[in-house]
Amino acid sequence: MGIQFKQVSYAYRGVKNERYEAILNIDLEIKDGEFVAIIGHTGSGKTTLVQHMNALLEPTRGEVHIFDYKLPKKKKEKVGPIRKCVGLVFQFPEYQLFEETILKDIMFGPRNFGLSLEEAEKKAREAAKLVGLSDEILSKSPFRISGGQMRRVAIAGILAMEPEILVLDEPTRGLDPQGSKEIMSLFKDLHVNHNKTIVLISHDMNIVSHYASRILVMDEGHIVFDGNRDELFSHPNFESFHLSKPHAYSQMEYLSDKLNIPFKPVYTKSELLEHLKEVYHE
Amino acid sequence: MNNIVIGQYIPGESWIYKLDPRVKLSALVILLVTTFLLNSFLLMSIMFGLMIIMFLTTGVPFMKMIRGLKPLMFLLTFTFFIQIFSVKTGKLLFEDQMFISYSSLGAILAIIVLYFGLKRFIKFRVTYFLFMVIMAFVAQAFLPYGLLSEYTFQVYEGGLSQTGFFLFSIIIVDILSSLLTFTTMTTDITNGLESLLRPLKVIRFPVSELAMMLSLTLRFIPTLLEETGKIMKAQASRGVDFNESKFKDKVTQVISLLIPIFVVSFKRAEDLANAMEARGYVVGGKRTKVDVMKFRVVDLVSVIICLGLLTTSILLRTGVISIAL
Repeated sequence: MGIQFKQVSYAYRGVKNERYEAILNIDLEIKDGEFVAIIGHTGSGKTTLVQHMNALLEPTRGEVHIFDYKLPKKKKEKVGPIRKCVGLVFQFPEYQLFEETILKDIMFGPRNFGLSLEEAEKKAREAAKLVGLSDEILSKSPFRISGGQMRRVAIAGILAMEPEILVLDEPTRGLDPQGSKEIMSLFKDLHVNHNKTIVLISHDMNIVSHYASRILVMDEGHIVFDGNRDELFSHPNFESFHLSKPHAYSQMEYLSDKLNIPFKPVYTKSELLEHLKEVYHE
Repeated sequence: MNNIVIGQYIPGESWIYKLDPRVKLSALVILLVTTFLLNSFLLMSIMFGLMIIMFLTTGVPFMKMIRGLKPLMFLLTFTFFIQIFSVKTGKLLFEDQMFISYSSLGAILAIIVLYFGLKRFIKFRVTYFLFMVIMAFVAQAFLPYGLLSEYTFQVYEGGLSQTGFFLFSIIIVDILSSLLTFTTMTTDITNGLESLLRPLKVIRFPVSELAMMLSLTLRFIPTLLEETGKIMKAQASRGVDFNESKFKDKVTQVISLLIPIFVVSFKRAEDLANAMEARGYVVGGKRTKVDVMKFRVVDLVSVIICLGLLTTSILLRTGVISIAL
């Protein structure tokens, strides 16, 4: 079922009441169990697109279907159930923390969706374990831990609501390489072992090509590419997307160009090494 | 969230835009004092006429100023009736028998209910409001059935001119203050204020720090609004919804907005302080300005006219000169 966009447009109102189309006639279907990455330069409409998945924005034209719910919603229809199904992790989610203890903050989401204290605490502890927060830290104030830990707390706060679909807006932004690797392997684990659908916005092509099974490229409010990584990097109009290539991929291209090594799409250093070994053992 | 404009500056080219902000600020004060020194309807009308002429020469859209009066409409209507009923001097202009009866009270009640019921669908709110007020009096005049008591509705010349006096002075205040905000950018206002308050430095009043604080505050209002919008959305996706929750939950939900905004604004303040220090800002240090304010001929003329008006009104008030009615 997942999420379906049918000819969706969203227009912001400018200062002089002029319309500014952030996304335009989007047709998109995200199936259950997919790992989708959305890329595109700043201002291309990525964030606007994902905010529809959470009913934070309502389309000015077109329809969005989220499981059994439909946007734009009818008057007096509640959006709560949609937000419980789709968890949205914002850019710099650490700013949303406010409770006295980390545990309470993680419980905030489940409590809002009507769970009892005990249930919410149980869910919160599970979520904390999932993101790798130890039990001792849970009674501390969320303002007295490091930035990387704060982000884990914020993500745990979303996971505790047990959404079917997890939407992540640049989850690794501002984290050190170690931190972003850990966070990304957490999402991979959620995808593989807990069968969650994941929608990821990122600028890091290494991350995108490593984790996502499907890649969407946005430009000026349109989806200009929809496919897997091999198709993306060998796309004839790749230059027009203004994207970079993963490190290993461009190294491979360079080697095949300079040393005439047969080309094979590789996305990590180890894949590249494997390929080189294969070529030279022959 | 994007279309919030701080201040109400309307870009333009007329003479008032070329005025020195210091002159504009002083002119505002002088003209307000002048207005409040006047004590007769005739003088107020002359002043009103002058202000309208000035307003028309500035090229600022007239409707903008009228719109600023809208929130005052209820107050003005209320004052009007107080004056009409209390002031009974001069010629009697109008007289009519009014009935307070079951039927007229019922009609007034119906009008009130109708007013609030239809309010949402009416475009011209002010006209609609005035119409309903008039209807309430028409009902009193023509529905004597089930009589409780009656009174005579009398309109005297004194009452009308008194109302006109108040009406004009309120409109003058509105014209003057909106002219300042419409034609001066907030940075210019703070610069002008700083320059005008400079003499206070003698008594060690921190004038330039105050001006800096003022301009920083104004500068950060849109930024903080943007941050607030982001946090509201983030909490909304954690199930906070002000439209759909009970009052008890709303309290925690407000806290979930307030604390993050507090944290963010402190962080912003710290970053700003560091950035200012890195660029060499020292409290109390001597600084120059990018925009140097110049006193031109148009400024001189404006100051002379304003002072002339002030002197005339003082002389009229003290009775040194008088105009024949």
